[in-house]
Amino acid sequence: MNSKVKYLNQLNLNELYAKKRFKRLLTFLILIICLFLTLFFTLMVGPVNIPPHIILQILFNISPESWPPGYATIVLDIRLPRILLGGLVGSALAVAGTTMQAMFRNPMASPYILGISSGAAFGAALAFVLGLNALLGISGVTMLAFLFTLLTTYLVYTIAKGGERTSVETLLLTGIAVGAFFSALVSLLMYISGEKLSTIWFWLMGGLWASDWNKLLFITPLIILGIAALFLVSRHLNLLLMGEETALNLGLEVETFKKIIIVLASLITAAAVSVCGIIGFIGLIIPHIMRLLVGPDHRILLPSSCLVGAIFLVWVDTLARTIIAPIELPVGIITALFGAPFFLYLLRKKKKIMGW
Amino acid sequence: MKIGKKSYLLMVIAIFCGGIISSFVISQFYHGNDNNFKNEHIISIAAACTEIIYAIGAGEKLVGVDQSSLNYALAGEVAFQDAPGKLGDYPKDVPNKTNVGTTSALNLELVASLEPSLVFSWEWATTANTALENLGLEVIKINPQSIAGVLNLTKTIGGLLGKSTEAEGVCSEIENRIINLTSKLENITEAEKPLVYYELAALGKTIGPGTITNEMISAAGGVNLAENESLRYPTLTSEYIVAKNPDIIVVVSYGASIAEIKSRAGWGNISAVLNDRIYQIESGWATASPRLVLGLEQLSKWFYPALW
Repeated sequence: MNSKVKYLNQLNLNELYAKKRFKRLLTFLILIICLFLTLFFTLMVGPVNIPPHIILQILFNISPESWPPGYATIVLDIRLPRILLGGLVGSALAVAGTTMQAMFRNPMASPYILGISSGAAFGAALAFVLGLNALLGISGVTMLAFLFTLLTTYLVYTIAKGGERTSVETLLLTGIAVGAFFSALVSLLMYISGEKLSTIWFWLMGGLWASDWNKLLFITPLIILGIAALFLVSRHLNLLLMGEETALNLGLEVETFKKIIIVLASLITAAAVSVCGIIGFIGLIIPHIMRLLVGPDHRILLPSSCLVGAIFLVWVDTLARTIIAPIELPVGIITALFGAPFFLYLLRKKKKIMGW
Repeated sequence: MKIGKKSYLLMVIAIFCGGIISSFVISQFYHGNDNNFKNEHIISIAAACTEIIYAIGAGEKLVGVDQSSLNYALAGEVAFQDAPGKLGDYPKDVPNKTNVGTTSALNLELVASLEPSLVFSWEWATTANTALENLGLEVIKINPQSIAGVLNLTKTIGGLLGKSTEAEGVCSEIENRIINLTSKLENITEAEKPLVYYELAALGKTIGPGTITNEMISAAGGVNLAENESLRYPTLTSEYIVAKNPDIIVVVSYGASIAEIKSRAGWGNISAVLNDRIYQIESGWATASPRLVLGLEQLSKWFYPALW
């Protein structure tokens, strides 16, 4: 009894908070530095070897006469947009995955849980089969994939909505059913696609090889605004984890909040999927890995997932484009091949404190 | 709690600033399609074009080819014997070209580093074509789906590469060989024409109307089993094929083995199996390229061995 009082007296809440904040800040700082190092190092890797000092000269346009003009195209028009796109897509998928897992309170949830990957696949396959041309430098495939992702989300939400309350279970099942429907349509399109079959098949596995500045200009505002808005509501995600009724009792407008979450997560997923196909695994595993590493508080979990998602996808994509160069391996194969064993290792090591 | 709110706001502001800065950086680097490649180097990511380019003797202008162009060379010199024009150089020459990946996942960096003045691509490879055009490259998109289409394409490529005379020569060689073949078939009646089942990679997977192989089968004097299907690449059921009882089965070189086809359940009574008229065709002989003439002659020899 006496020792307990003594302990409470010694406890300085302010000091504890400060410590926690410092730790959080340090985590972010380290991750941001990692991200910048990743961006720079991966910029040097590729079939054409360009030394780091030339890369810096090209990036800041110093003494343009000292490097072959082809180098500028390779660094600025091919590698840089690809790496930036990889980072953005990785962040978007990781953040969307974390959000979906919180909303569904289900460790199996991923950005694609509402069947939107099948919707995107249908849009892309349709564009391939119809042979749609690019508009304003953005390919028909990107546009239709984006539109059908949003359409699928709208469809799933409208079907699942019942009166006052939309239960996450109904959403989940509606997502599975709508997804299965679109999957069947994709198979049908693949069946009649003839020569285009391999193109569709490759798109379904995801890849960043066709990245360019047009795609980046298209998705950057969507993803950055979407992620920023989700950061704003990350505190409420913590409430949702305690159960919808508890969250309601604590003053959260649960139904409106769920709607906002679905719209934002789908928007960033749609942007990501439309430019690079269906890259699996990141949205499922990065949130889990980060939950094991930084804990379940979404105020830390969401931003750190965002940064690690970017770092992870940029590295994995670098492997995809170099491992059997000049042939490119679909990036989805590597995300699972490297991510799964690492995740299993973490799970075994830390299974007692898994934050669910 | 107040402290949390503040750091929150700071984070959001930081992110917005990040967004604005990144957009600014992007707009700085974005300088549109103003690349000027003056070299006379060309790249072909459409195997049909690669073959035509060789046939007209412009192989040395190629600096890069795609994976499937290289795969065709793997079949060896036998697959190119008696090919029109200078196509015979293909199998020993193409492996020396830079591999720029596949049509569904092009290695753009390699393409750019080769600084091509022209890229030949498939019309349906929309993702690759958009990416190439965004790099400021000139892309020629092709999709020949008939024998006449291949001849026209040969002339077009000849014009683009300054080899018009050679292209005319290749076309007239192909035309003469087709005329020679047709003259042999002059006295064949409709009833005599064999019913042909042409199998691709799997049981029942075949070629329908609108494909070049379908046209080749009828030009060689056969009747394609699937010529009235509604799809260009339909999959027929095993039962239907058995009921149709084809006289001849032709299977592509990457498909099933002849022994496997003979041993299929219920196929023992098909006339092609009973008479041992199952043949394997080199896959490069039945596609949109000058080598289709080799395929035509081969098919005709299988259909009417007595005439050759």
